[in-house]
Amino acid sequence: MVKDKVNIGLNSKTELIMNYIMETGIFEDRMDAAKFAMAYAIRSGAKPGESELETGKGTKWNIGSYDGFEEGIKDLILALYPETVTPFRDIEYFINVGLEMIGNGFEKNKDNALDYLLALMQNANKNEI
Amino acid sequence: MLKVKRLVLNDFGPFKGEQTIQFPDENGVVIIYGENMEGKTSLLNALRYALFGKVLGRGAYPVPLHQICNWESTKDGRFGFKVALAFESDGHQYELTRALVLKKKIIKPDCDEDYEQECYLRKDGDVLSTDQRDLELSQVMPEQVSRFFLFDGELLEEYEELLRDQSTMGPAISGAIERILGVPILVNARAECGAQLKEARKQEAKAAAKVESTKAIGLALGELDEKHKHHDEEINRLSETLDNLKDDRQKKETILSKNAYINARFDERRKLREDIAKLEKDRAIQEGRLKELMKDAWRGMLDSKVKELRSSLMKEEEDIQARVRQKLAESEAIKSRNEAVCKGKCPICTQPLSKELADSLKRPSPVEGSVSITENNRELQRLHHVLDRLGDFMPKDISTDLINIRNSLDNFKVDKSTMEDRIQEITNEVGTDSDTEESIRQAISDFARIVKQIASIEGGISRENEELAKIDKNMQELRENLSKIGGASTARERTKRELCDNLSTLFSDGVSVYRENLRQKVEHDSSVLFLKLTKGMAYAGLQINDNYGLTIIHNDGQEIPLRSASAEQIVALSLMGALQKNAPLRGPIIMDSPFIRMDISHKTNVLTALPHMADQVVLLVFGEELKPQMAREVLLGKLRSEFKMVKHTDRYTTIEKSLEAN
Repeated sequence: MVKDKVNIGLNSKTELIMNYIMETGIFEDRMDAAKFAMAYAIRSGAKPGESELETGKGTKWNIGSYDGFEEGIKDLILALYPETVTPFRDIEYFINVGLEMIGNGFEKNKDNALDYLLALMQNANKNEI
Repeated sequence: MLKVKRLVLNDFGPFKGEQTIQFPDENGVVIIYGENMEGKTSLLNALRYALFGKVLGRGAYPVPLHQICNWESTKDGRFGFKVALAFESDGHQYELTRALVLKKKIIKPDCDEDYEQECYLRKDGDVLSTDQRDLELSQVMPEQVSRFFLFDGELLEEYEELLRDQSTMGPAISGAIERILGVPILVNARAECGAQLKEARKQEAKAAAKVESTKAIGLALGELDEKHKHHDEEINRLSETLDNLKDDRQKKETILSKNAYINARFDERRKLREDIAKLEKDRAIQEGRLKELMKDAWRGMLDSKVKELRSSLMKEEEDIQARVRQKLAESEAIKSRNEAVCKGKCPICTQPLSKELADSLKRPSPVEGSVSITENNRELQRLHHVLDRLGDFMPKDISTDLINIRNSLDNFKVDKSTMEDRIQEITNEVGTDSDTEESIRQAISDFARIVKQIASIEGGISRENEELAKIDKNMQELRENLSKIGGASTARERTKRELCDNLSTLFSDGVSVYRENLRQKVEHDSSVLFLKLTKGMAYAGLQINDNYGLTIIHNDGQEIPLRSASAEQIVALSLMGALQKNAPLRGPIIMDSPFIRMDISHKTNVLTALPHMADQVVLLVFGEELKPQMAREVLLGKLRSEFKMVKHTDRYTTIEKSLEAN
């Protein structure tokens, strides 16, 4: 049986993107930005476990202590992807993929970051595969 | 009628060495041309200095006299200056010399205290004593009315103050107007009669107190007279305080008006900074709201996906439930079949079963052995569990709120940037001098305090006057009684008192009548002049108020509430002309830069009217303000002389008679 993750983390690339996003002051904390990225990835049609991601030494959230990702998100992943047995691994995957997607256009939109994120939210449906 | 004949300057301002202007004997206009910074205002000040020993700067502030010494002369070791004015008045010839002379033992002077003033007045060749000199000068040209003879065209706008009820400068100007019109002669006479009346009343009371039959009345009158005196003294004391406060208020008002523009900019900058702080506060609130909303942004994005999933799960749930219902019905049927086989008869109609039917019923049904109810229920439970999980997911559509916040934040950015630009503009214009800002703020606070004190003192005077009115009433009653029973013993004093009473009333009424007549004359004459100066425009004339303020009346009878700076100058000049015509005291009109704000047609009208406003008119103008050719064409023979200031260095100007002079 595949073991699920206890800590969810970002890799070096997504850590950098996360830093850019946090500099805009749009999100209160990194957890909010991470959830946003996760939802954006799901809404854009990413499927869990499409590829392996390496996480680095950056931000990490502990699952066991429930200090970040509430049980509801795990349930949501399980509801959306009933075949999965590693919802937290999937969450990590979606966060990193979502951050990469956001990061692609972030550099040139950093002066209008809110507009950019709003556009992402509105266009997420269109991107859905 | 004072007429200037000659002015000799010695090291006064830019006029280095000795320079003389000889004014023509004939009545008419003299024009002295000088460009900016060449010495026009200094020349006007030279006349002011000769007559009153003062030099005024911009805003009518006295300038320290040592600063007037010619700079090049002082570098050469010649300190001080001298102005000699020769003039004629009522057939007498005067030579007035005033000089600022370095005190003995002072080598390097740097303040007025290092100098002393010398002043001599020669009348018809005889040098007058100091007292005679001062008396003579105060009669020939009192300083209080100098504003109507020597003036800066730029300051003519201050006459608009006469139209403002709450103005502090207005009463000073209207006081000066009454003075030039001779009103104080009657007012002083009224005051003298009032003093005589008081004395007569006192004597009457004393006389009454000496006679037994009127003793009580006499004593009561004496007592009331003492009280009256006490209240009078208090009113005088309060009035003196009030005058001082009003002087202070005017000084502060002058400071504030001088700094009004700078102060308005400081206020604007302060307000902008407050607005920016408020904006920042609002922005922080909006950013807080944004962060709050962004906590749920992910839910919004997954909303449709979750809805879709929920709807498919619910359909699946319905299908399973239908399958369970069918399974239950089938179970019931199998149970009945088994019972019939076992009992050999139909459980419904109780008819015995045939052998073929019983054999057929013994064979298992095709549905038996398919998915069991338990399995279906397990599937249902799973679905419920998933639906329950989704049930916790409450999506939120926050895009509208986000757009609103984004718009607000964009507006904040634009507003803040606009405000910061304006602050920078203001700072470039008025600097960052916090001392100036503080001193203006202090002046505003002082002004408010003085205004409060004035209101309090005026209240005090009003209460004192009420007390006086009561005393006067009591005294009047007592005097009436005294008249009835006093008889011959107080007849002499009573007659004297009644005479003073009548005289006092006569002068009081006289003052009112004289003032009213003067106002009518000034209104008429200023209107006539105003119509000449504004020829071709749709005005009916000017209307005078109690303070000698003049309002322009349109042909349709309507008042014109707002007027331009040039209109203000025209109205002020009309008032000047009317005052010159009606004043017992007359003199030359000497104006610095009177045409700056006027267009050509008004310049022409004013030039045409000038020779009729005063016998002697001296204009200090610059070339662009009044072209010599135009002046000559309009004034023709009335233009008596032209002078030109020639600037040699920044501190050295000479005044030369123009070659083109008549």
